[in-house]
Amino acid sequence: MKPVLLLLIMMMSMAAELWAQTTLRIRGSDTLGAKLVPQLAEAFKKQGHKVSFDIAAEGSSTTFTNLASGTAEIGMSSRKVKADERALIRSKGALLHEYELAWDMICIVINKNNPINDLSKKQILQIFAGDIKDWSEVGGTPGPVSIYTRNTSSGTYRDFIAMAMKGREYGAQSQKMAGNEQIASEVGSNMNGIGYVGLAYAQSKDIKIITIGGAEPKVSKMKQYPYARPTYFYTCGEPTGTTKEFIDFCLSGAGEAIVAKVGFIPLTLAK
Amino acid sequence: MEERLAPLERQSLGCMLLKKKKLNALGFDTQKFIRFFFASNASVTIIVLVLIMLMLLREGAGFLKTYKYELETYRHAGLEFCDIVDRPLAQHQQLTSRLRRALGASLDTISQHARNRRDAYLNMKRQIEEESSLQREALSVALEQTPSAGDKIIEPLRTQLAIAGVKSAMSLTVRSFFSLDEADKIRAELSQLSPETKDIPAFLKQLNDHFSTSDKAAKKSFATLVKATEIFEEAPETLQEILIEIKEHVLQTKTAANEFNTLKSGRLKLLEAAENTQNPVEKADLLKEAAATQAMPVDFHQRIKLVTSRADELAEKVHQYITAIQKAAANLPTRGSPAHAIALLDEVHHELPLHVQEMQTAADEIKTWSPDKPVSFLTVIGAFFFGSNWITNSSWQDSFGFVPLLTGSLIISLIAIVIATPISLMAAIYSNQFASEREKELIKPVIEFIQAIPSIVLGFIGISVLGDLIKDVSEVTWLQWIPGFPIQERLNMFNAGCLLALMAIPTMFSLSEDALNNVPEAYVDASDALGATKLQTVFRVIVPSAFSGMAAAVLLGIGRVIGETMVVLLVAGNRIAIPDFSSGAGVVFQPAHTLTGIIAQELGEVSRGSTHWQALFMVGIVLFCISLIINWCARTFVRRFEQFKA
Amino acid sequence: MINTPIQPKIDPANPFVGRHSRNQTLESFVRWVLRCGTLVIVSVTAAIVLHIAVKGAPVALSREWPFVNVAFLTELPSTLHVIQDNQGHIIETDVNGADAIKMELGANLREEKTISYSGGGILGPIVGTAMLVIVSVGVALFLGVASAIYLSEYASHGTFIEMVRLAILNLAGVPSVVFGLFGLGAFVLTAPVFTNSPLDRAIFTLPLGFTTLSFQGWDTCVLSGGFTLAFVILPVIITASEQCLQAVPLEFRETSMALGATRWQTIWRAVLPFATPGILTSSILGIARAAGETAPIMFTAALAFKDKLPWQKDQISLPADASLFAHWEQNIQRFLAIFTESVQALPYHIYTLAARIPQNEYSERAQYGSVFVFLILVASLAATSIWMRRSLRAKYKW
Repeated sequence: MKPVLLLLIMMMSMAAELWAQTTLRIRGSDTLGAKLVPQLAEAFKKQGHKVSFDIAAEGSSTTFTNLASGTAEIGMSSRKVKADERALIRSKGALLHEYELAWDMICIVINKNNPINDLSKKQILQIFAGDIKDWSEVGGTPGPVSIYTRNTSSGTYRDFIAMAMKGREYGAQSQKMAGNEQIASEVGSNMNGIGYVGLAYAQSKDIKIITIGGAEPKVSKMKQYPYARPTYFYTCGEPTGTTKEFIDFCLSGAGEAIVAKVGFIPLTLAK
Repeated sequence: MEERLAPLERQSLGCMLLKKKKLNALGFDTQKFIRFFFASNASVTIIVLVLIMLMLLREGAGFLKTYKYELETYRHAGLEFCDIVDRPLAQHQQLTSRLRRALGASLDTISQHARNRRDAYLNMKRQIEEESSLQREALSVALEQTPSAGDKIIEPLRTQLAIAGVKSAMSLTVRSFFSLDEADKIRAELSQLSPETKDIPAFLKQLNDHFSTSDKAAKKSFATLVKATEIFEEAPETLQEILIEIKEHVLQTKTAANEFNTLKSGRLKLLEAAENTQNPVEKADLLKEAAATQAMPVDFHQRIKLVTSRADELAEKVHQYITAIQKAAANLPTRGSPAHAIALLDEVHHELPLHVQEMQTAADEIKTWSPDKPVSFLTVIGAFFFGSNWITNSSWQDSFGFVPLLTGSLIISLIAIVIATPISLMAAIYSNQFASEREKELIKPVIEFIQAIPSIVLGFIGISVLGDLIKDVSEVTWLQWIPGFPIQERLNMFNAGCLLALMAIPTMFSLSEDALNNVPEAYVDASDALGATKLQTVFRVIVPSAFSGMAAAVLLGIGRVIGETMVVLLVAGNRIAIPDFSSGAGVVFQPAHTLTGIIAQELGEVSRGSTHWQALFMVGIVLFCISLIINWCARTFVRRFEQFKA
Repeated sequence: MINTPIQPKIDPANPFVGRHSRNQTLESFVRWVLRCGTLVIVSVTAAIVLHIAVKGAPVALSREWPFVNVAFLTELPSTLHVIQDNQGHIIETDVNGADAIKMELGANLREEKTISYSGGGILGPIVGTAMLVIVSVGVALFLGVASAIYLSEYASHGTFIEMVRLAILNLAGVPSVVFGLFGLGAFVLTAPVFTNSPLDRAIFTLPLGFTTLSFQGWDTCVLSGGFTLAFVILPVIITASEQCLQAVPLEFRETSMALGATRWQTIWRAVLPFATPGILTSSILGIARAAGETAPIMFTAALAFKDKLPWQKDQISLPADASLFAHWEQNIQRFLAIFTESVQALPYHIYTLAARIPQNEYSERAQYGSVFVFLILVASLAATSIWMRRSLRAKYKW
């Protein structure tokens, strides 16, 4: 058995050393990874680049662990890097490079049959913190509020705390969903549901976007909307070769067209 | 096979004559070696079991230490100080929520009709806009074009929209709040909706006005309640202001402490890297970087003084707050509102003294609070095993209490077992004792097929079909007597429990059928000989003697259910909270999170070695122990009853 | 359900008992209650299978020859583009077709929706699952059969054997997600690798001169996932193999030994040949189990999206004067690299489809199609196993 095992181990270790350089491994945010980046990747390949993509989108927190351990070439994140994460990468002897990719707005969505159209920032805070338990408290049809949030590793989860919750936690009754789409479909099927999704995911037909104190999440009105945020690409050290080409492509005109199509706000418009 | 069949170690004649050298120096013997080879393979199972435990412990055991450190920072930085006041203050929000609901219910008595009419109109408007969205969009695109498209293009679009609008308006079902005349008016108005007219339709305006007047009237007639609610809601504002100030301060302390630690460990790594590198330029670089990350440690004592010095001020504010809410509560009317609202107000009156008392204790507690109280390991273990909050990636304080997860897992398993046990035992008894050969030929493969269905497929069924099915059933009027109906969430514990029941059935069925099969033929013969009927034989002789096996089957079914991951991850609804048992049996229709689900959902996303990572491995250890305990119970069950039988 | 009419049995000992005595009524009542319980199981299963078949079969099968949707089974998953024109016509296409259609529509284009993972087919996940199954069943069969031989042929008593049996029982009860944790800790993060530059997470490194044996793990890859799955199915394989070995009559062994064969010769020549078909049959069940598990591969092997098959790799072209050995080495490395990559796997793909993308008429196609294919694969494995077991039982009658 032992020689066989040894041989196996040897085979594996030999193979582990071999990583073809033309695979771009992209890890991180679901907001970016579920829709935008796969499409950017497809378009990039269509341009004739010989590269294969490896995309896993489990949440922004995975971005930096993967970059630090060298298991990703590009990290995508819907929030800015935290100080301790930067320090983590720094401690591996590499510098973190940051690229603003596009802007996103977090839309508050409710079921389309809910008569409410507008909520104030304070009401949003109270609803997500669990203070407001019933729709009648904000002038809606009586019924207990069901809150849908993203799972805890998501950048949107943290961004929303920072932008809307004034440091408070989500109410214990909130349900943690795996992705934006799942929130959209649950809110769509629950008359009393409320949740937040990235602008790109708010097109589902059973939900409607509400305005926040009159501000609409629209590209033209981004400055007034309280829950708008940039999204980022991160690389470990100065990108080279295909990695650089891909990032350049994403920031180019062709990339921005895709960004806009998917429902994000291209940088040129956001500025 | 038994040992007496040991091989006859006889050497062949040729061997003996030629005296071939055998490799038995060092005791090496082919047969022994082969035997050893197989034995070592057999021991793999033991090794794996031990390795599982070791791996879980290696990654998870550090949890106690890191979590202890986190709790210490929580105390030293003063976060605990804030929470002493903040926790009971959360009750204020609950009370306010009740007041708001009571107010809403009271106002509804006057303004509900007007509001319903307005909302119904708006819904119809949306419906029509949706139905004719194709034409509407085309028209608005054409209108927005610069230079403007000529009438030639716009006109046909207009007519198309008008046709579509009329068509959908005609098929509109107008709800009963509107009279027939009004219905016609609505249809006429809605059919003319166009992106060109910016005015609000006349009837909608009328409805809006009507609503605002009736709302005003309502607010006037319940003025005391409105006023009292407002005062109540605003009561803690000054208290919160000062609390927020302190919170910011302590949060800074905590962040600084954490950052210092990361930088410190990072610097150590940089220095180590500098040590190992040969290249002098790189070495200088690394050393420079290490120097750049030099940071001052946080002086907890200095910073906490600022916090504790404000304790008296804070206590003062708490007392002010208490008087304010008591005054507001005294002004709450006790009559005049509908019964539902009165009940809510009564609840507020009932719970207020308790809240006041809690705030009093909090006010006393902050004065005597000290940041230097040590955190014992017992506290840490208690915080994990009895903590009722699982909050991660928090901006305030992470906490890892696994009670909500455990309750979720237990309730879901209970549902599954309650459903699966009778069905699978019935099926086992039937197919073993009553079924014809042909029926058996159907049942057995079906059971084996269920066993082969991957759990993810069942999870998918739960998310795509069963959830909606349960929700639809719960809205049927003549089923409203069932507690918890109509249900709100389609992803809930009951949904998961049903699917898990299906997964548990094969295990329970085949094991209990084996148990029935193992009942000695003699028992049956004896029973028959005594003149027992078939039923008597089955239920008085066969089932009791197979009881131990069937009980073990149920136990192993529980093991299967509690360890199942994908179904609960997809279907259980992922709400990390101890379910609200106040709704009785309806609790099963609430969402929950589970031990297995939390690992699957969060493990892929946390950095290795963090407290969160270790906490998840701790959950894994608990799961592993549960599975061992269940297995052990099942074995003892079988043994004890077998002894008893003998 | 087959309902055999209940024929009231006339007790030969007492033919005068009434045809409908209280006992008989009771018995037929109880019989029906029990039958209903059984019926519930059968009908629920049938309903689920029917639902999936009705929704999924049109995607995976086709009316014309070869009766399967070849594109769905031979394409990689991709994003689905749904293009709607101003007349409300809907065109579904992939990224390559989208531009041409948009060009053609021009101003008539109303909107373009994109749904991730819903286009293309499911070849990637199928291949990934197949690779995971090959690795896991390979490992599990080797270990499992060897363990079973020891348990059945060498020893059946003793503390060691008791411990092994206890371990097998307990291993069978360990939740699959705990296996996932184990795989993550053991294979992804600790397993030994030969490398020249050990990572600092390695718990132990052993310099060997030309290279270093570093216990730094294999990362998420087919090997990690396959080994994890192997231990998930190991108890099943051991138990099944042991049963098959036990079923070989004792006389075979006695005869063999009486002829002077050693214990090993007996096992190799007189026991294994008769047990192998049975062992293989039961191992098919192990395949079904390994293919169906999701939790163990979540952190060890599976990937949400990958746009190439494992062996599709761009090769670094060797210099023209490269020796034969270099080519040979490269080919070997290429082959091995297949197993050191993360793959898409069918169960994880279904998880992604169920949790990460919306439920609407466009995504339904991919969702139900994948579930249908997956169910068919697993069910046919189980059916083969059952059928083979029956035919074996008929063939070997000792």
